[in-house]
Amino acid sequence: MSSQMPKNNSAIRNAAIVVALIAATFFFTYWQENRSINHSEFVQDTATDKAFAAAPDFAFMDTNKREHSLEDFRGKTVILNFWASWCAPCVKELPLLTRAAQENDNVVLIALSSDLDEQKMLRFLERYKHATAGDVFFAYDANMAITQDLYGTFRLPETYLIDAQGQIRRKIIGADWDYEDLLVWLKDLE
Amino acid sequence: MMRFLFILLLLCHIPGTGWANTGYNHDALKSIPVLHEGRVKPLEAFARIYLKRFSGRTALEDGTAAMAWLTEALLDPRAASEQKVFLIDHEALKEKIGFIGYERDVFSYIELQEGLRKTAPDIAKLQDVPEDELSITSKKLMKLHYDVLAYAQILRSFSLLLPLNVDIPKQYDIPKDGHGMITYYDLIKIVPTLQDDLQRIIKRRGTDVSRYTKREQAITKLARELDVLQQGASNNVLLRILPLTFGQEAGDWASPWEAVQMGTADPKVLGYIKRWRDAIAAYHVQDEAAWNIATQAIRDTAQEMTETRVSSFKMDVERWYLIGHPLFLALGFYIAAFLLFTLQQRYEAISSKFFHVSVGLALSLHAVEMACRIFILERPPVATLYESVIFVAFFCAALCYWFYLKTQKTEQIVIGLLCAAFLIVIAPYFVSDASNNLETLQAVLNTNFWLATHVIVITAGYGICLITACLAHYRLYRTGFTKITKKATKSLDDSVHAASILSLLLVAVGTILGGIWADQSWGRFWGWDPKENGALLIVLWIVWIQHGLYDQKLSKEMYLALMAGLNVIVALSWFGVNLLGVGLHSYGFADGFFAYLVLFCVAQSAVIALLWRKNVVSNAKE
Repeated sequence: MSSQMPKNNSAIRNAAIVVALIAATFFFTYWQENRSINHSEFVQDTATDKAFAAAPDFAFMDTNKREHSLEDFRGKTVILNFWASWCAPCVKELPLLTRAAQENDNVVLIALSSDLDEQKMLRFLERYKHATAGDVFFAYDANMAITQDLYGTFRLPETYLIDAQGQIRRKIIGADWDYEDLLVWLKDLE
Repeated sequence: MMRFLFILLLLCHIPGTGWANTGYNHDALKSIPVLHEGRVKPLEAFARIYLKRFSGRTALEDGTAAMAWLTEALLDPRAASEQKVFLIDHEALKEKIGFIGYERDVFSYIELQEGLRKTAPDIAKLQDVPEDELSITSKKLMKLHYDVLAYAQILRSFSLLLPLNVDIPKQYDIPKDGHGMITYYDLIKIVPTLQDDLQRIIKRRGTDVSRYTKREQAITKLARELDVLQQGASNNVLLRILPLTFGQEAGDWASPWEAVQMGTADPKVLGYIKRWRDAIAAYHVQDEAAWNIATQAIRDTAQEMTETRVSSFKMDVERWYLIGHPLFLALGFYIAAFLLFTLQQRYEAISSKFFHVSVGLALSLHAVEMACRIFILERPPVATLYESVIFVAFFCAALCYWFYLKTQKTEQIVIGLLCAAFLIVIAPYFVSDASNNLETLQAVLNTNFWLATHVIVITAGYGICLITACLAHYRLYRTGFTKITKKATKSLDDSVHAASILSLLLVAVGTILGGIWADQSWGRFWGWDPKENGALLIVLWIVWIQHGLYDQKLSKEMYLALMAGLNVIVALSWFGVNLLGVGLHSYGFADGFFAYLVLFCVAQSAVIALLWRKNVVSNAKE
């Protein structure tokens, strides 16, 4: 009898080890699968809707010869649009951006032009039928110093939505969107 | 496409060659994350994969390490195009592309151009031929063409940021970035003006360039060169090194050209690109101190940008894994343990401690190998044929060692060590891409829970089947060819019986779990898929033999011979079904493996027949 006891104990111990290993494997894989789901959700949030990066500050002179900086608009939602008068999609979307700034409180449009020279931009704006009053600021970006060197915009049009805290929350590439989309995106920033 | 690359090589202006291989430090670049084949990996892994794909090695013949080679390819494409990288050791292929009488097997990108041009029409035809109808030479020719295309992509990856050898007409004001370089990146700003000027010139003078003034010719030339650079870079997506903030999908990455052409850059990405510009400038002037600072800055910026989506520790683990070869070391210790055990049986003076330490080290390194793979790939280590072979090797060795510690039966540890060593040796032949055994999975298999249950159980079952078959071989050998006591014979019979029962349990449970997975994934429990049939065949085989013995319809010798034949059944089920190339489980690599499998099955059958016959004759004599 006494010689049987250690054998039984050993068998129980070994069985317990095997069961523990199997259980650990199950729990590990269960945790892994859940962790990967959370991980991808997090990335999606940061990549699309959540604040991600501080918008680099810059100074500009608008077409009324008034100087501003991006910092001046802290506390407001900023639509930062990069455009040029020779760029057809830019011209197509500009009225929608202007309208968004004029119809929505606390929304500002800063439209920086990469035209070949400032006169071309001014000539276009003279013909521009949409009001440029209110929180709408047009400016010429000489040498694309802000457009390309600061914001990494290499093709037009591109638009950044910057929240009241100065964080870039969305980048809109191209003009393939409509006014309702823009309103939803602006609402997301609140 | 090649035309674009040649013009790029002419335009890129980096003096001197081979600077990347002069001992400058590439350490900081090694752990830079890059998205490749669906997984983020360190840049060094990317370098090793491609260098191995092209040259069959992870370092060049002159000792240039993979990372140094990649750095040169990215930052000095002209020098890299003359680097002898492409391995062509197939004589018929050499002949086909015009390298007749060459003793060497390694050629440069430039050297290959003539042969590739000559064989380009063949490739167009071969693309329509089913893969199994292609000759070896045709397959190798196609691979060479694809490899060269991949190399061209690598050479062009950073052409956006490389200094250009172009003349800029004075009227264009190109602000230099402090490095004194003019790159395509800088010239993007003048592209609209340049196109505008070009249109005006054409309107005024027509398309005959000889009628243009020198200034107009210079504008036309520059516009043409920039156009060639841009066109040559379209679809340049191999080196997805930029982690995007605002991609089309969550966690998107882009190559430098992609970020510019698709408009996916942003202030953060721009900052990262600027770090690369600093490094390229330092490389351009061969300033070691500036190079070290710039590459450190690249690494720090990459870590900061990817901290929410990439573990820098994981990058380091993957690099250690690739360099350390834990499996190779484990193989060495398995062989050492076997030799020590054999010597210890013969010479009592040799302490058994050496043997136990060797087995312990082998199992530990083997476990490290699998743990690294689990950590890097975030999945159980049984998702590909290669991985399942490695896992079964570990399982065989660990289980047999455990049995040995319990029972002190010498045959068990010998079989375990030999099985493990044999499986590790053959494992590389099951990798679908010889340059990369850390494969990303097909979606159907990418379910960790079921990989951890069904596949682990079934492959463990395969492992015990192998042990059972080897024990049966050994039992037949001992009784047929040596003198053995009845007690020893009974002990061996018990071992075979116990192992076969455990095999049956694991394979049967694994098959049922597989059915449940299939039901959840594909909506049916059983589909008579070749792999499912293979697993069922093992179960039926063991059940049939056991019943034959219990019912006394099979002699002991026949029972053991059929148990020894379990090796053949497992080989057919595990590897053979992949040869059929049909079914939902045909995920493993089996190209060219048919002959070896047939050879194994025939050799096994012959050995088993011999052992069985010898036993029958011995019994008749008694």
